[in-house]
Formats: sequence, C-alpha cells, structure tokens
Amino acid sequence: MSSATLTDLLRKLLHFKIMSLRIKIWLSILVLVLLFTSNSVVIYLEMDDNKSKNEELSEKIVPTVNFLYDLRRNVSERTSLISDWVNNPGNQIAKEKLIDLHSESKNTFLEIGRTADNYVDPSWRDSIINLSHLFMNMSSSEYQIMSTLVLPEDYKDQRKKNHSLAYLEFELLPVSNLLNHKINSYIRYTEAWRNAQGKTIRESSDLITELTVMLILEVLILGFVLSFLVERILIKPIIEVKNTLDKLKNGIIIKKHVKRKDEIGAIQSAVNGLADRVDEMSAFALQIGQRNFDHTFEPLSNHDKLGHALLSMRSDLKKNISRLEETQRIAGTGYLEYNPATNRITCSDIIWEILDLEKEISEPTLTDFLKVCSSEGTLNFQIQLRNCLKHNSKFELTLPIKSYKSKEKILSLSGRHIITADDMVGKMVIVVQDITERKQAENELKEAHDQMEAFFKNINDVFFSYDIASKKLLQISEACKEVYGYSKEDFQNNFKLIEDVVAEEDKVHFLEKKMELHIGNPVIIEYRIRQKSGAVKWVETKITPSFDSIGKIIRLDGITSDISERKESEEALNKTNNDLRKSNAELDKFVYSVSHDLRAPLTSMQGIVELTEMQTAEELTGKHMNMLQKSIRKLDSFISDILNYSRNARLDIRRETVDFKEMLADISRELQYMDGHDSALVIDNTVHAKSDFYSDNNRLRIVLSNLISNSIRYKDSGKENPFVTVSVTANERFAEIVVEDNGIGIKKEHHENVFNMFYRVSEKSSGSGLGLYIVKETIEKMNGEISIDSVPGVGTKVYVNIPNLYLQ
Amino acid sequence: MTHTFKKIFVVDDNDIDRYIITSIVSRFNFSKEALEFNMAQKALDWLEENKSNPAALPEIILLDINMPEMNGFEFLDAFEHFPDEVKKQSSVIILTSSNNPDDSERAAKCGLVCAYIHKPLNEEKLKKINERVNGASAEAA
Repeated sequence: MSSATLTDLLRKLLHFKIMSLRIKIWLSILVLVLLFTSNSVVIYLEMDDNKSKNEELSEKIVPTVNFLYDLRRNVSERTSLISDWVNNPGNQIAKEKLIDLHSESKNTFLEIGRTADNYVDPSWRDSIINLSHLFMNMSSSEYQIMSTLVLPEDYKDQRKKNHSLAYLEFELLPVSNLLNHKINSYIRYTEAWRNAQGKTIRESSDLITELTVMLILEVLILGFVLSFLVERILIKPIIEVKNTLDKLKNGIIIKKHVKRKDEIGAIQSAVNGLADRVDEMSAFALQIGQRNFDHTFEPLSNHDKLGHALLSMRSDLKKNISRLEETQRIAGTGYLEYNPATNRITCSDIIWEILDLEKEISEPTLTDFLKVCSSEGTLNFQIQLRNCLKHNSKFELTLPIKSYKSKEKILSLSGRHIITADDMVGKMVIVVQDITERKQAENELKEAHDQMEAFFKNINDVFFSYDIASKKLLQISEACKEVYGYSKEDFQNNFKLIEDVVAEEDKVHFLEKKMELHIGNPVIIEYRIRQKSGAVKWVETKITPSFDSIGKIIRLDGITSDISERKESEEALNKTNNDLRKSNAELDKFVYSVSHDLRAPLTSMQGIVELTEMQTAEELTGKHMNMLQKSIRKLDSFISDILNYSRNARLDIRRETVDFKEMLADISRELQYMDGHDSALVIDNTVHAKSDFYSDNNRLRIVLSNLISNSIRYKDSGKENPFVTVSVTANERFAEIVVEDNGIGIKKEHHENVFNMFYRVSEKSSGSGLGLYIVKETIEKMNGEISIDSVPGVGTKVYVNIPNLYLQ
Repeated sequence: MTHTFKKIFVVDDNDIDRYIITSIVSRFNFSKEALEFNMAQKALDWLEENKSNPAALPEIILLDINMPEMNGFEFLDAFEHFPDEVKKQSSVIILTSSNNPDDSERAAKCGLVCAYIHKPLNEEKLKKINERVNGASAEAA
C-alpha cells in the first residue's frame, strides 16, 4: 500500500460522512475483528503461562513439599522411636515399627534422590542431596544404636547402655535436629515458593477473567456503537426517505437537503429528484388547471408516461376548451355565475365580447354587468334575480342592452339558483345568449313576409308552395280567385284541387316535366285549366323545385299566370305566320314561274335575233336586230331585278363560305357582253381576305353585280382609260368593298336619292331604276352599310361594308 | 371549232329553242348529228333501248330544265340508274333560261352535270361546252 493511498484512506477516515456505506460497514467489521483478535491473543498467552506454572506446581513443588513433610514426620517419628528404643527396652511395638521405618529409609533415600532429579536448579538439587546425606547419617546412627541395644541384657550392660545413650545424645539427636531444621527450612522455602507460584497463577487467572470481561464489554459497547451508527447512518436516513416517499404518496412534497455523499445520499438525491419532478408535474398540472396552456414542459423521455399523459391531457383540454369557446362564440352564448354573498360574478370570455368590453376587471360585480342595461332592464333583472334566490327557482328573461360600444343588443338570459350542501347561500347560474341577430332576422323575416303578403295581394299571378311529402299546398296567394275562380280557402280545404283544375288533356305535360324537376331544373308549363265556372283558360306555371340536404326533392314553388290573352294572340300570330309562310312559298314559286315564263320566250327571241344577225347580210336588218337585242336584254335585266328584289324581301339570310375572287371573276365574265363593255374598259379586282368570310352568296353577288354593271353602264366614253376597280378587304368581323370608277359621276344633289326605287339621275340613264334600290335593300337585309362618294366628270366610289357571319 | 362531236341530244320542249340550238350546232359544226326530243321521257326511252350499244349513244345531252311531265332534274334522277358506261359516254349539259340560283346549285350538286349554260346558245358557249367535255373525258382517260 503506497503512502498516497494510505493518506487517502486516512483522509477518508477523517471524513467518515462522505465515505460510501460499504466502506463504513467493512471498516466497522475490521475494527471489531482486530479488537477481538488482539484480546484473544493476550488471553491465550496468559492462559498458556498459567498452565506451565500449574504443571510445575503439581509436578515439582507439591510432591517435594509432601515429601518434605513425610520426611520430617519420618525423622521425628524415628527420633522418638529411637529414644524410646534406647530408654525403654520393653516396648516391642515401637521397636518393630522403628525396624520397619529403618528398612524403609532406603526407599526414603531413593525418594530424596528422585526429588532432587526434578530440579534442574543446582542449588536446589545440592540442598536435597545435602538432605539425603544428613538422612543417611541419621540412619547409620540409628543402625548403631539398634545394633548395640538389641537384647534386654544389652540394656543391663552399662557400657552398651551408655554408649547408646551417648550416641543418641551426641550424634543422632543433633543430626536429627539438623535434619529437622533443614527440612523445616526447606519446607518453609518450598512453601513460600509454592505460595508465590500460587499467587502468580491466581493473579494470572484474575487477569484472564478481567480480560474476558473486558472483551465482552468491548463487544457489547462496540456492538452498541455500531448499531447506533447503523441506526444513525443507515436506518434513520432510510426512514427519512421512506417518510418522504410516504408523504409524496399522500401528495406532500418535502425536500431534504442532501449532506451525504454515500448511497443513502444518492437515494435522497433521487427522492429529491422525484419530488422535484412531482413538484414540476403538479406545477404543470396546476397551470393546466388555471388554463395556462403555454407553460413550458418537456417529458423526460419517451418512457415518461406521466409526462406524456399530462401533455396529451393538456392538448385534449386545450382542444376541448377551444371547442367550447368556439361553440360559445358561434352560439353567441356565455356562462355567468353570480355569487349573492359577495355580489361578484364570474363569466366566460364570450360575455365580455357580447358586452364589447375588454376583459380587464378580474372579478366584476353585478353592477358592472348591469351598466349595459336600461333602468327598466336592470329592474326586471333584479326582480327576477331576487325572486329566483328567494324561491330557489329559475327564470327566463329577454334583456335589451346597450353595449359598452353603444351597440344595441338583445340578450336572452336563463338563470337557475343552485344550492349545494356546503354552500347554503348558493349561487345563480345564468346562461346568456346574444339573440340580436336572431331577433333582427325574425323582424326582417316578418317584414319580408308582410311585404310579400301585400305584394301577393296586389298581383294577378298566383304564387303557391307545394309540399311533396305531405302532398299539401303550403301557400297560395289571393290571386287564385281571379285565375281559377276558386278562393284561397277552396284550395286549402281540398289539396287535390290544384291538380283537378288542370284540363285532362294537358295533365300529360306535368308528367313530361317531372324528370326535369327532379334533376333540379325550373320548368315552365303551359296548360289549360277549368275554372270554377266551367270556363277553360290558358295558364302558364313556372315551377322551381327545392331539395333537402340529401338531394331529395321536398317542395315546389310556383307562379301561375293567366295567359289566355297571350295564348290567343300567339295562336293568331302562329296562324298568320303559317299563312304568310305558305303565301311566301307560293309567291316565290309564282315569281319564278313568272320570271321563267317571261324569260324563256325572251331567250328564244334573243336566240332567234342572234341567228338572224349571223345570217343576214343586210345592214338595216342587222341594225334592227341589234336594237331588238338591246330591248330584249333590258327587259331581261328588268325581270332579273324584280326577281332579285322579290327574293331579297322574302328569303332568309344564308350563311355560306364566300370566295370573293371567284365571285368577282364570275361577275366579270357575265358582264363582258353587256352594253357599254368594250375592250378599252379595264376591270380590276383586288381581294385581301385575312380570314374565312361567311355571308349570303346570292345576295352578295346581286350587290356586286349591280354595282359593277352600273360602273360599266355609266362609264365616261370621253376618257382614254376607263376603269372599274373592285377591292375587297375581309377580316373576321366584316368585309369592306370599294367599287371605284372614273365614269361620268353623280351630282351631289342626287347622292341621297340614288338608292330610291325607280329614281333615275337623268334621261340618259339606261337602267331600270331598280338596281341601286335593290342593292341598298339587300345590304340592309344583310346588316351592312353602303355609302356613295361621287364627283361628276371624275368618277364614283361606292363603299360597302358587310358583316362576317363567321361567328354565328 | 376544233372538235366535232358525232352525236348529240337536244332535250327541250320548246320548238323554237330546239330550232335555235340545232341551227347554232350545225352552223358552228359542233356535231354531225343532233337528235331532238321534245320530252325528256322520250330521250330516256331512246337511251334505254340503246344502252348496250355504246357506239350509238350520244356524246352530249343538251338538257332543258323546265319541261312539262318530266323536267330536267327528273331526267337526271332516272339517268342516274343507267350503267356507268352509258353515263361515261354521254355528258349532260344543262341549257336553260332559268336564272333561279336554286336550279344552278342543284345542278352543281349533281355529279352527272358537266356544265350549266344559260340560253341562248352561241359560239362562245359551244366552245365552253367543248372544253368542258373534252377536259372531262381527258380527265376520265
């Protein structure tokens, strides 16, 4: 273990509180084990020492002491016996006993030697050996005595007796005394040693006992301390955490300051975190409860079910509240709560909107609300409120107000007194609805209805409304009396009447139009009805169907007008038209027949004249034939004019493609044989067509042919280069035709008359007088325009504008 | 006159007109032979009899429109049913005094009509017929 870690450990020991719980437990156990082991070692050593001393005591000292006692007794017994032996010859028993003892003395001597062997200590062994020497001296003295004085006669021998007595007196007894003295001294010494040894053992035992008691006490104290510590550092904080959790469970949020850095500290931090989270969540929930939906809140993770649940709860609530508010706004309906105890009201935002008031008064009084009411309204409201509170009932009130922006509004109030067990005074709950628009609409509707009623009364047409499902006539206007002869009541009493009045032969028209009605188209039906009087009348009904939301036809609204007069004039007009059409066709046919019948002999005449001209050699006949031919042509052209005029008046405009170039070429070709046309005359045609041109070919040909032939007819013979130029410019809207010549021209005063029928400028004019009239008529029929610009002696310009029928 | 036809028909109810036509035709050597019919039906009958003999058929039929009993258009309707060889061989020229546009339109619509000529007939008009017929036959060839 390095010194750094050691210091570290020491530092940790000093900062016990910041140590991890595991280290604390290990450390405690370590201290306990160390204490236990050290104590045990001391006890063990002590006990071992005791044991050896005890052994020594029992093996060496005790037998020695016992031997010394035996020896002393033996010595004193032998001393007394030997005295007795000397002094008293008759005592046989003592003699025997002494003999025994004497014989034993060899054993005793051996015993002494053996005892001496027990001691390693040389001084002690020497003492014992010294003792055995003394004992042997005594024993030999005894043997001297005993062997001297054996028989009774020996006793009578004085020398023997004296000798023995001297032995006894001077030898044996001093040895015995010395021995005794030595033995006693040894006994004393040994006893003192034994006592000392015993004392040491006793002291040692006492120490062991003390140590054991100490050990027990240590364990007890340490255990107590440990359990105190465990309680202090482990159980208490755990209980604290548990209490915090218990409180959390009961909804009380308590946070402990975390001082510790161990596992318990971590648990406390975790619990604090949990408390924080719960606190945050409850704060968030509180915000939701207070309708603050903008509070920032983020779920911790995807697994944070509570967080997500709160968020989704908030969004649901938000949605519901906005829906509710929207509903209230749309319905113009708000909620108002009046507390009679405080005279204060609480209400939904829409009420402020209805009153045109910014929501600035957080807890307004009833007076604030009543400011918008008229005095009469206020009175009504207060009476209703008082009655309601008094009788615990409900009320309904229509309250006209003038809002804070001075808008007149009508409110509908429905109130109810609500009492609960814990609120005996109760409160008024009032639903306030802005019914201004509804009232307005009702008034407008009534007005419109009245107007309609008046309108219906004054109009000759019959308005009606028919309900399909119930087959009932919902409405019919008063005019029915005029049209049908039946009164309004007649129709309302008999729903089938409106069908029955329809003439039998015209009912089919309604069936024919049924499909039209069902697809939603309004229809117009003309039919006959039989009036109450039996008279038949023509009427026209316009019917408009109405549908429900799923497209099912539900109602028919109609107007029936008396069209008898119109019908009569229509019929008359139709008849006239038909007649006219017939006579027109007949006339056309007639005109053609006449023209053909007139022209056929004319052409025959012309043919004959031409033949004659070819065959005759006579100059005069030729001249006459020429004149005849001119007359024939004039007549022919006149007949053509009449025919054209007649056709133009009667025939409809036709829409055909016009090829101006071809038409002009045709006309030029046709006119090359006419009088006045000679090789000197130049006819020039120019056509600029920007688009296809549509018009009536025959009419256009008549117009152009007439204009060009006029130019030819009235050419100026005096001019060297007579010409006719026709220019056509056509676009998609119209064609502009200019026919220009350098002919004789027309005087200004004639310009306005040249288009008149049979008007001829001068007697020189060779035409029928119908040409320009027909041109004008034809152009007008075609919706065109014509104008003339002419200077006598210079020439004539005719401008024609014809619309393009392209788009029709 | 560049070309002289072998045979032509003149179908017209008016004697004077037929006279004029035949006179002009012969004068300008338009055709060697001109058969006259005062009724359209008669012309049809003739054609019916000779339809299997192409050599005998006329090259040109000068047809009037306004005729009693059967008019020019009725003749054309009947002629329509003749075999193609016959219709190819005989070109129909309308020669009429009618200036009714309806008539000229109707004639233009009918495929059998080769030309529509107003009376009276003259040299110019004969030339035009010649051009048309030869042009048509040239085209057909």
